Amino acid sequence: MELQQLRETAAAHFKADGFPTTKDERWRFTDVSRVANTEFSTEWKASNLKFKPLGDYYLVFENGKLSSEKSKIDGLPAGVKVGSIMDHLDPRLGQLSDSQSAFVAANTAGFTDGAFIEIADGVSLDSPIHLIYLADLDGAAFHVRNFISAGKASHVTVIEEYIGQPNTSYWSNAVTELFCADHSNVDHYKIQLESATAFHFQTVEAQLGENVLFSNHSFTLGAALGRNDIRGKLLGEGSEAICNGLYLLKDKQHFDTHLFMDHAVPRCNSHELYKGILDEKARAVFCGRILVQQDAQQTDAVQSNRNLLLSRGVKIHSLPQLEIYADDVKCTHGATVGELDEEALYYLQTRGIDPKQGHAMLTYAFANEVLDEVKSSAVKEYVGRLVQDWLE
Amino acid sequence: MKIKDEKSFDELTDKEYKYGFVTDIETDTLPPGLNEGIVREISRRKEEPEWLTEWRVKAYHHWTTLTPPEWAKVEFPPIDYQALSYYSAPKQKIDAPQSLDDIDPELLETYKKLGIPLGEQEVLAGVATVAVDAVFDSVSVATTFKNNLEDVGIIFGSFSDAVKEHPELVKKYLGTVVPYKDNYYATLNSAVFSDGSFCYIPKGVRCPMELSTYFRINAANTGQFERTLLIADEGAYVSYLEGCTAPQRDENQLHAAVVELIAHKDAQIKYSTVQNWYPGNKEGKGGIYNFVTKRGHCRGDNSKISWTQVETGSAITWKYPSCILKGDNSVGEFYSVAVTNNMQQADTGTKMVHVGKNTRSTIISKGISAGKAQNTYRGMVKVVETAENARNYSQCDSMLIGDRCGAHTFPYIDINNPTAQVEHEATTTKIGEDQIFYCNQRGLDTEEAISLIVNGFCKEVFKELPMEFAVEAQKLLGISLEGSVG
Repeated sequence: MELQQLRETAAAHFKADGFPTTKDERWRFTDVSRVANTEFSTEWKASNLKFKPLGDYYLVFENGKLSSEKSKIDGLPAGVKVGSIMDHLDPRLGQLSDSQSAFVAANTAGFTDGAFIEIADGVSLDSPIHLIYLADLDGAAFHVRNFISAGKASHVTVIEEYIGQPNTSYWSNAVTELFCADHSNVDHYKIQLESATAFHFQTVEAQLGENVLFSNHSFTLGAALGRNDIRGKLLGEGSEAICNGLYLLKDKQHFDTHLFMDHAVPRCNSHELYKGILDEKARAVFCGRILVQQDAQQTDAVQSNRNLLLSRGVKIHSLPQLEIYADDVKCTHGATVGELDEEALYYLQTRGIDPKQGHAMLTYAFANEVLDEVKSSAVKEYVGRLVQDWLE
Repeated sequence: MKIKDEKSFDELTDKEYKYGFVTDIETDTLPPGLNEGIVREISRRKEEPEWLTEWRVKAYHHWTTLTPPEWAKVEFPPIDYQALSYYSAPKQKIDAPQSLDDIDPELLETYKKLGIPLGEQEVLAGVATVAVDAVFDSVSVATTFKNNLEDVGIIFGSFSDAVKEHPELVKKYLGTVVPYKDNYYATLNSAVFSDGSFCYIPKGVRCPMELSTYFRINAANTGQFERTLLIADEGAYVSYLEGCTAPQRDENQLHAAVVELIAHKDAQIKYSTVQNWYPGNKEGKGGIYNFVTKRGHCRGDNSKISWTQVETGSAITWKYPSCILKGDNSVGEFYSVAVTNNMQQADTGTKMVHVGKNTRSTIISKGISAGKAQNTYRGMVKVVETAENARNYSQCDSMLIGDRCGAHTFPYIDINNPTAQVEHEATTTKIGEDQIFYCNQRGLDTEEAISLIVNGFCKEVFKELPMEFAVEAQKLLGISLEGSVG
């Protein structure tokens, strides 16, 4: 579909349905009227925010627009295309995105820039590609659209990082579409450090062919109100999808994670581990749905959501869901909510560790389980430090 | 696994429902349709006080503003509420039966066929150890052991009698757990409920025997709307059983009941259900729509409500027995086995709402899906701000037999107090082929093996059932799954 046509369809869809309300089951616990009732400007300015690249190649977006001066993509091996989505419109654009979602429709209708990454068949990229989104423009809305295509037997790591200037209010509304061809190995990371007064919404959709290894890690620390929609479609046999995440929330932050894993074919595995630490008046929503279609025999799906509550006033809504139409499957999900284990704290005290330190150790250990699964050492180290800082 | 051969497969599926007979009895039935006049007429026929009539009318008017819920994972054509008859009672020669001799022998025969002892002499022969309130279509036809129970101060009988004899109790408690505005089906029930059971256990009394209600739908094109109200006063204990069957008919019939339980300080209620309404035939024709609202209120400190259910029947089950744990240290339990075969659909689970301090709840749910059935667990655990040290443990296991069925799990965990400890676990697996093979090796055929394995899978729930029910439940499970080998 031509981009213009795609935009018009999306705009019409958005116009007809508007923003979701809490009467919509998928938005039951997340009220987006604050976004709906805000007028966003279309002004633009360059950003003064600092950033630190986590790989040899990086694209920097200043308030939603790619800055070629700040970016670095020279030295990319042959068969790797990285640039602005506006210069590389792939015919598959918009195929994956969930047209039911108002946020995706708003993005499709109005995206102004975004990253385009294409890895040719058999190409393996050693260094991660770091996508950095800087936001420091009060009252603005950024619709960023990313398109990532990994060819057959290719290998790539992409890190998306959203950085916001503290005390600025804006609406960041991103969509990332990932196509993973047969035998590819794709690691996708997202580090969200938006301003604590901003709105952040993102939909990540991945389509997996045969024998794909795909991982998605989301680290959420920022935004006043936000949501991640992560949707995986397993369309080829023998693939494995890992979707892990960590959300650290405080003040009055509200963050929603909606995971959807669609097993359409036999012999695929999906593993999901989401952990949350909530402090002060924070509120978290986790909804993880695993769909196993009738033909998807020998599916192995495991999902777990664990939440640590640090203070009175926090709220958690956890909705792990299994929808299974095949019989020869192994599917489990679990959810826990609780405080730190008093006995563990006591044990540490008997070993001479004071309660405050013990508290910090146990909390870090709780979060560390997600970090342990991270393959990229740059991400592991960076996020590890962010978690430490958050805890202090 | 293989179907042994087509013929035996058919034989098995055909012999499934043994309670499918119809009792030929003269009935007093209101014409189909629903309007304020019908609601008032039901109330007039039951000689109800004005407050109850007005309560029904209020519910009716509220119902007209509602639309049927669509969130459950069940599919059925819309119900034409105007085509149903809302009142059907067996005609009686005398106004109220004084003893079993006054009851139509046809009716007694029906209950005999169902294996429900209504003759008290049977207790002497060691047959009956429970007091039974039998509800036939819309009205309660007999209550056994009423006198024995009265000796210890227990009020047990039909809802209509309670309205006449103990209006103050009914008025005090009716609608306090499930208000008439609660949901579509409960509101409909509030407007047109015709009878049901009422039970009051006074302070400090431990009910000497199991109490039981037996529901039977007989008439065609009627809906059954009964209402059960059970109150355990301070320190009381009661174990209550509920059973249901219906004739085999090609049309779907609606059953929209409401059960309200109230447990005061230190009281304990154990409520067990074996639901075996007619499930429809193999192609999904006929069967009962079982849309039931059941809720218990642990009103006092240290109270306990325990729900145990074995759901094998009904074309569609929509049922969420819940506990509101208001009293400090109160306990809620939910043990459930839901079996769906052929075209059956079940969307069932529980709600545990923690309000008081140190409240605890346990949820054990076992879903078994065979044939082309869809079995859904839907549950909610809610811990409100005031519930210090609340504790919940939930486990939902599903077993799939055959590759055309579905098993789904939709828990809602909603925590507003950091001292809460909530755990939820769910698994879905196929019935073990090696287990079946092992049984085959030991000389059990596949049918028997499945029955054995499934019974083992459900054991945690069955052990919560009173003795008589546990035996019946095991047998029922076997029957429900017959023909599911494929």
